[in-house]
This record gives sequence, structure tokens and C-alpha cells, in this order.
Amino acid sequence: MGRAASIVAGLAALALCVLAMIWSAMPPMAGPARAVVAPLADAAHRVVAWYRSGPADGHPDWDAAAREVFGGDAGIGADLIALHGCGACHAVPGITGANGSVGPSLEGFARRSYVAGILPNEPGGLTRWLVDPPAHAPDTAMPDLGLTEEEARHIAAFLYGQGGG
Amino acid sequence: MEADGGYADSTLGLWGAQSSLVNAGRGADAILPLTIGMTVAFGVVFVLVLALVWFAWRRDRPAGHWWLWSGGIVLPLVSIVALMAISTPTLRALVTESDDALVIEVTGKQFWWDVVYDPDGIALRDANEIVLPRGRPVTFRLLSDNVIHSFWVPSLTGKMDMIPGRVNMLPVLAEETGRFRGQCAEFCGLSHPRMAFEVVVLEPDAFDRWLERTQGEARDAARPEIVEGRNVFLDAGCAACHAIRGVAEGARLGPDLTRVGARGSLGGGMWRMNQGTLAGWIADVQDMKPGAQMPSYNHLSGPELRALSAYLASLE
Amino acid sequence: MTDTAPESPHYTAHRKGEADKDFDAIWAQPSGIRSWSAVNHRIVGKRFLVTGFVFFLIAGVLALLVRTQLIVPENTFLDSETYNQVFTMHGTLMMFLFAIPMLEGFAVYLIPLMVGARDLVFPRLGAFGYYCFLFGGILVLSSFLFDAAPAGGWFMYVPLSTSDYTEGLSADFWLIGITLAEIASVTAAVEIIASILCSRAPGMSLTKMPVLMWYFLVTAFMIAVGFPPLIIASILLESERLLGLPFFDPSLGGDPLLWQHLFWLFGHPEVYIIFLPAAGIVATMLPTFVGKPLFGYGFVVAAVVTMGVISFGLWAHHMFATGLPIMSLTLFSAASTMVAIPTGVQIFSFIATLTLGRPRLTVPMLFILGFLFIFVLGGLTGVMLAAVPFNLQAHDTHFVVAHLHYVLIGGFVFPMMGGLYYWMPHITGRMMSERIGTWVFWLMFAGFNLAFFMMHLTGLRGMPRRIATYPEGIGWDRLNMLSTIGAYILTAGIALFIWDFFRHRRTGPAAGRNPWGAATLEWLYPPVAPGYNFRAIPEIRAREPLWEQPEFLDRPPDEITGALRAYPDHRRETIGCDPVTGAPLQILRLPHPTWTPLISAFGIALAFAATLASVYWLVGLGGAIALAGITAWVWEPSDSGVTRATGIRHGLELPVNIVDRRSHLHIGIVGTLLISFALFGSLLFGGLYLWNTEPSFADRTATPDSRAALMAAASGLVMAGLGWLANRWAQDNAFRAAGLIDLGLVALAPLTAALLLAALLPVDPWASAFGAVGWALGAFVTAHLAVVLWWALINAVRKLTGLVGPGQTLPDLLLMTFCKATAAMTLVTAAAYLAVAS
Repeated sequence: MGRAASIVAGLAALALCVLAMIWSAMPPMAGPARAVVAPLADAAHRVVAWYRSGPADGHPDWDAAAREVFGGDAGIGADLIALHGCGACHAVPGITGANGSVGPSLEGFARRSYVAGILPNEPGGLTRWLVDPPAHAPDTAMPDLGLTEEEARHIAAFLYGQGGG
Repeated sequence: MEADGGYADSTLGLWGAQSSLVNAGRGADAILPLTIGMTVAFGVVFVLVLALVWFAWRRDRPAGHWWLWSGGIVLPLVSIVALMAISTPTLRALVTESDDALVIEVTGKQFWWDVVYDPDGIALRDANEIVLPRGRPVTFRLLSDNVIHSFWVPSLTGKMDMIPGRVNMLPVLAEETGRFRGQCAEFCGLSHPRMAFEVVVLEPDAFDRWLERTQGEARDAARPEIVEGRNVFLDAGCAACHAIRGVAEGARLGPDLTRVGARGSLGGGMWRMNQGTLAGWIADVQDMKPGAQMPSYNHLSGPELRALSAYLASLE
Repeated sequence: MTDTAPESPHYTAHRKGEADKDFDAIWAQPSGIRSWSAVNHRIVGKRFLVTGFVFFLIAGVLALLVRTQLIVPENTFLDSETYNQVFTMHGTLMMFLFAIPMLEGFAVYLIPLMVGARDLVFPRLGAFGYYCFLFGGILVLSSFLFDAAPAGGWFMYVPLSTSDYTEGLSADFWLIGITLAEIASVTAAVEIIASILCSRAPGMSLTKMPVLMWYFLVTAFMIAVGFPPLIIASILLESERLLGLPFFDPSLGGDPLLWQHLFWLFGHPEVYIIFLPAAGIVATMLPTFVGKPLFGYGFVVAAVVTMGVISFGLWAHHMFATGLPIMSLTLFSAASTMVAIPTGVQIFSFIATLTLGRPRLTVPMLFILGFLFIFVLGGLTGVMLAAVPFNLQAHDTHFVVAHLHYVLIGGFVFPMMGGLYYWMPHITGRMMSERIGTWVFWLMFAGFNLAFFMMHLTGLRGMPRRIATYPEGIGWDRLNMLSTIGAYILTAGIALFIWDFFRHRRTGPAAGRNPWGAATLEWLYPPVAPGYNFRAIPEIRAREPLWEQPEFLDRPPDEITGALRAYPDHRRETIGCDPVTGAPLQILRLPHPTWTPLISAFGIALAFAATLASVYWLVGLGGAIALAGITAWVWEPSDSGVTRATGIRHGLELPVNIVDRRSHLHIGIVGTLLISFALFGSLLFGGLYLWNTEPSFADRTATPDSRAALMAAASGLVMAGLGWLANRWAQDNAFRAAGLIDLGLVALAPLTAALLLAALLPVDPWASAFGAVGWALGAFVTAHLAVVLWWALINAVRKLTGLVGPGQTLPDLLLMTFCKATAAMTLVTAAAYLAVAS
């Protein structure tokens, strides 16, 4: 490598290292950072949504439509799952620390046919289950966590959104 | 002590809850300037040394012996004297106990914290969450009856080990209200990473009210559907290890559960406290916290587990 | 009595010499499977370096596993149990099976080359040490195969590591395997001390020897005094696990802090033991690349010696949070900051050396600059940690993890890498690539700083050490991710180095004579130097021989005039010198390749492994094999009793293997006894400590039998007297009488042991820790008495069967010294029993 090129490359590497160190010390999503990252994250989400928006042959994707949860925000759902500690009993991919084995894993929930072996697996069924599990399955070990219907919709949106489908 | 979701607050996910750079106690307050001062001073020394290396590399005239004397002897000597002069009085202030301090005895267990407020007086027993009054001196009496642990709340003060056969005292004076996080800081076995705890600092009168409220028997079975949970507690043999004042007295092998529902977190600062996590804990504690002394109670039926966890969540 | 005629009936040189071989053949190394019987320092040194580096790589992989687990919060890559094993083994392998053996490898390889000798003075001891290290390392690593890898941290704190809280064999793998590997360290210490003091070339006084020799000498003394506390602590803990002795049980008068004191009495000097040779390597390479001698040689030597001494007074700074009294805290804090002074003197001397000429930026020089950057930063955070209030926040957090890696990687690994690049041409005969080496350096430097610089903040933000995972969102997530990425970049640098190592052996350019333009003697021959190092031992007149003495580089190296060009007895030999003045003193005979070190080490390893497996008859078998190996080792006929011409200084003749206190063998025995006394002192410290901190238990322990103790003391005194008498009579050639005195020792040694044990009989070792320490003392002295027994037996048999000739009484001189030391220990032990009994 030529001397000038080495110096430029070295300075660039140094700048990269310093930036990385500064990034590591900052709390997540501090104000200005959020303004930069949020539009990028939105754009990425839109690309993913377009990709998943339907089969290539142009016909409507009834499976996907059946899974859409109206008024459910998967982001809020993820926060609620962390707040209510669902991971104490269930393994939930995408939630830090959720690897419980008391109840079944919730990975790829959208592909299931039934909710808890009782209710059909569609947005209404899952939401109803989450609002009061013992009402549907009196012998279940899953307690009534006191979720409102809105909270249940957010959680359902998250569970359907992860892992394809 | 209630926050959104109907659950008590917790330090989980709280940025800076366990940081020695956040000083909410007199000890941490005394140490932080030392930390920052040393960082700045030694940072300058470091940069000077690097500059000297650069300068020496390019220099043509040989160095004189005064380089060794000043850099190798005088500079360290000056730094050392300054350091000792500042840190010795700070140390003295850190370890000096107040005569009128509230004594809280904490025994480190594998892997939880057995807390007794005023052990020579009212001897109020609790676990894993410690409530302190703001502005009033507290002395922690630190013990262990198993392996070595270390009691550390970085936002309040430095740490102190809990060593079997020894009693260590740690004076603390909380200066700000809020919720802080502590963690065991001496490797103590399999679930050492999961041995944290919460510290809640209240205004003095709020603390007095809390202390008043926490003493006495369990406020349980407020609703009829909760009564069944108490029966499960007694039938399943939980009272062999866990005490609930007024329901099952005497057992000290596990944490006291009289006010368990009021705590912000479960399992030593590792999960938010609510009925769901309680159920998960009871059913499979060994998966959540391997090596804990409590076996997994996975032989309870679904309704029994729900009743028991609802009962415990109601004990505030 | 001297005898210059080689036909003397008592002179046995012919029996050992290979009369049909010429010089090259005498020094030829065995090949194929027989190469495992080689004892030559170049081969043993390379073995230490390679095996140590392999352990470095294994421990590095373990580190990557740790960092991968910590890359995100609540990761499930490793479960807690596996993680605890992985970080324990990472630390254990790095500290015991990489750093120490690596520095031993440099020492064993370089010392004879730099002091002008043909080999170390105890080559078999070096080979024996290597095999103990190898077997010990294999034993520790094999724990992974049995799913019993140690998981208690490299420091194995009690009570967590006692049998109550760590069931199974994991802790025993650590205690037994590491103690076996430590035998290598203490034998290396004896070897280094004796070689540096006793085998320097004519004219090389202590002030003319390369500064690296000073570093190694001080390090060796530190090892001799610093490793025994750990060996004792390991034996005490293993006794607790195997036999249930209550050394650390507070309910029986023990104290968990006793382990911590013993461990850190070792642990703190250990890190300086690791640092000093690396600093010595820097001090050697730096003048080469500046072209001028090191600045302030005298200052540096004084600083090194000071550092070696001071380092023994700092240990409790690892224990600031245990509740020590405030006076202790302040004293240890002050002492810990004081060590910055000798460190600073060395660093500034290195910097000042840069001003003496125009430095050349080669790959070793890059690593020196990296060392200056990283080690100085680490040293400064160390001074921060010495301030107790700050320590109470930073102790047991990732701040300390950052600090220790800065000083160990900056202070040892970077100089080691520089040293490997520097001496690789000497070992392989080819140069490594400057271009690839520059990449290796920058990848390592950048990766290291990315991994560990922000870790200081991680610790200050509250992340403790040794945690398998951490919760999300409290401020450690990004810092940990950055550290993991940095670790991978650091690994890339090391991987590139390994690739270049293999590449250069095939296609690297051949190294010319003295390729770096260095000043020290190892570059006298063009790489690769012959196994005998020097055809004739050169005379030294300057500290930088290759710069100051033109007769070294202006002719083919085999033609340089010097000592011992002739080899009348067809034996391997080198010049021995007076330990202090360096004046030529003796012709030092060296062993030819032999299997006894391997057999002895194997026997010991078998005994250790069988203890671990609790197969006790196999322990006996291993012990018997070791005893047979060691007996065969020491049995060889003596070379003493004659003088030979050296070929220098107008017909100077020197005795062969002089029978004198300045003999290398006597220095070796003194070094060994230094270790013994350090072991003994550690036990005494344990007893004094428990007596001080648990006086009620000390008072309640049953008292030893005073009469038996007094008789043991008397017996010990008589034993010393007998040892002296045997030597005296042997010197007067009264071999039969001396042999009978030896037999008296054979009887007296077990008698003394029996008396000590009789004194101990009233004391129940299981009833109190204090009593257990008393028994440990007795057992320790008994072990020495057993050595006296066996040694005296060997001496007696040799004398009584006529194998000893006039002037061949070195074994008697050595036994006399050993008896005196054992008697001293017996007296002190008996006195301790009497003190307790009163």
C-alpha cells in the first residue's frame, strides 16, 4: 500500500473505531439519533411489508388477510410481552430473555391451527384467549393476566408478525 | 409503589439503574469525584506519555538522566501522594458508621437476599427488595451462611463482601428517592448472574408509613377466590421453606413471602413481579434460575397453579 | 586432591564419555522417537514455546465463547454451567498454562545463548519440568472430556470450591492438574537462578550481563517465593475435599479468607512474574532497533529488583472489599501505588532509549510501541484501583477485567509477539513477513482496544464480573456488543500470525547473520545456530559484545577463540563461573540425552492422576516409577576430582564439577530450599493467621505433646550434625566411615518424623483448622525427612560399594546443606508445637 493510501485508510479506520466507541456508550435512541434512524427503519419495514404483501401471481393472500389484526401494533405488543413477563413460561423469539419452558414455545405462532388446543387460531380467537385464558380452558395453568382487549390485540399482532405468515 | 400495567415499578430495563456514575447516595457521591478526577488526571498523564514517545522518537539529542528521575520517580511520587491524600479521608468517611443508624441485616444466600430490618428491635423479615429512608443513615450488617457473596448498590455506595464466619458493616445514606438496582458482586455459583436486588428509597415519612404497613401479618385472602390459593400454599408444603406471617410462621430456608406481591421484581431482580411470572417461577424455577435451592413445583394442576400464583401476587 | 592423569582408577569420565565421537557427534540431538529423550535447552525451550502457544490458542477460543455469549443480553448460546466452566478455564489456561510456560520457554531458550553457555546447568531438570507442564496441562484440559471442567473461577474461592458446594471432581481437576503443572514453574526457577549465576562466559560479571538476564533472575526468585503459597493453598483445599480437613470452615476455626490471603500472596507476584520477562524482552529488542545500548542500565536493574521485592507486599489490594481493618487498607493501598515508581523508571528508560539514535520501525518495534500504549494505560487504571474508595465501586466489575487485560495483553502478549517476530529467525532460520506482521499488529491493536477500552465504562456502569448474562436495557447492551466485535478482530490478527508462521517456514527469506543488527550473544552464529551454541566459549569484555568486540562478527563463528575448544573426555560441558564475580570457576559437565526426566515426570503424573481418580494402588505405582526415575537420574558417577585445561588465559586449568558451595549444584539446592522454606513459611503463615483471627479455636485445640516435640527438636539437631560429619569424613577420604554415618541418617530421619507425629497425636486435625495446620506442618517436615532418608541411603550405598573416589564428595556437601535446612524446619516446627503447648 502506498504511504498516502495507508495514512488515509488508517485515519478512516481510526474514525470508525472512535465512532463505534461513542455509539457503544450512548443510551439507545437518544434524540438526534432517533431522527436519523427512524426514517431508515420505516423504509426497511415498508420494503419488508411489500415483500410480504402478497403472492406473486397477483391473487389476494387470504391466509395473510385472515391473520391481520386490526388496531394491533406489534411494537407495543413486544413491550407488553416484556412487561407482563410472558417469557417466564413461554419461549418467545424476538423478546430478550423469553425462554421459559413451562408453557409451549410461541415461535411461528401464525402457523398453528389452534390456540392452546381450544380456540381456532385467528385474530379473534387469540385475542379472546389472551383476555381471559381460564374462561376458555378451566384447567389451564395460564393465569388471567388482567389484559385489556386492546393490549391483547397488540400482543396478538406481535405473535402473528414474527416468523413468517 | 404502583406504576402502569397495575404492577409495581421495577428496575428491569431501567437505563442507569445499576450505575456507579449515578450518585444517589453519600458514598457514591464521595467516590464519583475521585473517579472522575483520577480519570482526567491519568488521562492527561497518558496523553503526555504518548506525546513523549512521539517526541523521543524524533529527537536527535540523547535524553538526560533527569528523564528517569522526573518521569520515573517524581511524577509517580507526586501522583501517589495526591491520591493517598484524597482517598484516605474519603475512605474514612465511607466506612464510618453513624450511632443512630437504622440497622438492616442482610444475609446472602444462594441465590437470594434475606433481609431483616432492625434485627435487634422489631426484626422485620423480608427478601430481595430493600426499602430505605432518604436522608437517614442506615448501616447494613452483612452476613453469609454459605459461600462468599458481595452486597453492591453502585448508585448508593461501594460494595462489601458477605463472608461466612464474619460480620461486615456497610454504612449507607441515600440522598435521592427512586428505585435502584444492586447485584451480587462475588462469584457465588451457578446462578450468580441472577442474584440481583432492588432498592427503593422513599421520603422519610413515606418510609415510616411503609414500615408500619409492612409489619404485622399477611393481608391475604382479601377476596374469596384468593382463599383457595392459600390452601394450595399450605397443602403443597411451601411452608416448609417459606414463611408468611399469620399463615405459616417459622421457616427460614427460603424468602419470607408476607409481602411478596408488593415487590417490583421476582427471583432476585430478574423478572417483573406479577401473577404470570410467579406461576412460571413456581412451575419451573430450575429453568429460570438453575441451581436455586427451590425445586420446580410442576406437579400442581393448572387451577392450583393459578390459584397459588394469584394468592402470592395478592400479598402486598 | 587433584589428579590430571585421565587414567585414574576412580575417574569415571570414560564410562560416561563417548570416546569414538567428535564434537558435533557428542552434541548431536537424537532424532525420531528418541527426540523425546533430548534434554538440550534449545529443544526444551522450543517445546515450552509451542505447547504454551497452543494453550494460548485454546484459551483464546474459550474467550471467544465467553464474548459470544455476552454479545447480547439474555443470550442462550451457553448455559450458566457451561459458561462458568468456560471462563474458569480461560483464566486458568492463560495464567498457568500459557503465560508462565511461555516465559519459561523464552528463558530456557535464550539464557545459555545470552550468557555464553552451551546449555542450561540442569538440562534434565528443564526437560522434567516441561513434561510435568505437559502432563498437568493435559490433565486439566481432559476435565472437559469428563464433563467436569472446573467452574469456580481461576481463583477458586472457598467456600464455593470446598466439597460442600462443589461436588464432583471439577475442583480436583484444577487443584491436582495445576499443581502438577506448577512443578514446571518452580523447577524452572531453580534452573534459571543456577544458570544465570553459575554458567556465564568468562568476563561476564553481573553488571555486564544482558539486562534480560537480570529480569529473568529476579523473576525466578519471585517464582521461588511466590508460587509456594498457592501450592500450599491447593494442597490444603485438596485435603479439605479428599479428607475433610476443616482449614476454611468457620464453624471449626477455619477462615475462608485464609484461602484468599494465600492465593493472592501468590497471585499478585504472579502478574509481575508474567510482566517482568516481557519488559525484559522489550529492553532487549529496543536497543537493537535504536542501535544504541539501553538507557540507564543501572536504574533499570535497580527498578527490577525493587519491583520484585515490593510485589510481595501488595496482595491484599485484591481483598479491599472483604472487610479488612482500615489500617490494612491504607497500607496496602499506599504500597500498591508505590509500585508505580519502579514501573515508571523502566518505562521512562525505554522511552529515553528512543532518543539515543534513529529508531527503525520494524514489526517487533511496532509491538514495543503497542506495549507502551497499552501497558501504560493499564498501569494507570491499576493506580486508580489502588485507591480504596474507587476500588469499592470497581472491584469485581468489568473495570477490573479491562484493567487486567490491558496490563496482561499489553504487558505480556504484545512483547511476546514482538519477541516471537524477533527471535523467529534464530529458531527457524527464516524471516517472517514485515507486511503481514504489520497487519497482524494493527488488527491486534485495534481489536484489543475496541474490545477492552470501553469495558472500563461497562464496569463503572455496574456490570459485575463472571456473569453468564445480563438484563436488557440497563446500559450494558451496546458496550458488550462492541467488546465482542473487538474480540473477533483481535482473533483475526492472531490467526493471521499463525498463517504467516506456517507460510514463512516454507517460503520465508533466509535470515543472514545477525539479521537485526543486535548486540547480544545469541546472534553470534548465523541462524540456525548449532545445538552446542558456541564451539568455543568466548571471552566477554562488554555489555554489548557484538557491538563492542569486532572479533565476534568479522570471522566465521567456529573460529572465534575461547574456552573448551578441546574435549579430552568426550563429554558435553561448559564453563562454570563464580555466582557473584563471574570469574571462571569450574568446568561444568552437562548430561547427554536421557529418558529419566520423562520417566520421572510420567511417574509423578500417574500418581497425581490416580489421586484424582481415587485409584490408590496406582498412586503407589506412580510414586514408585517416579522414585525409580529420580534415583536413576541422580545415580550417575561423579565427574569431580580432576582438573582440565580450559584453553584460555595462558593455560588456565579448572576443576571439573567443583566440590564447593559455589558449585551450580549447591546453588540449585539452595534455590530448591528457598522454595521449601517458602512452602514452610506459607504453612506457618496459615497457622499464625488462624491463631490471630480465631484465638478461641486456637486455645480450644488440644495441645501437642511437649516431650515428643523436644525430642524431635533434639533429633533434628543430631541429624544436622550427622550430615556435617558425613561430609567432613568424606572430604577426608574416610568413605567407609562416612557411609556408616549416612546409614545413621537413614535411621534418624524416620525417627525424627515419628517423634514429630508423636507430638501431634493428641491433636485431632478434624476438630479444628488450627490443629489441621499443625498436622500439615508435621506432614511437610516428614516429606523432607523422607528425602533425607532416601538420599542418605543412596550416598551410603555408593560409598560402601566403592563407587566414590577422592574429591567426588559433592553429594555429601549437598546432603549436608539439605540436612541443615530440614533440621531448621524441624526445630521451628517443634518450637511451634511447644509454643502452642505452653
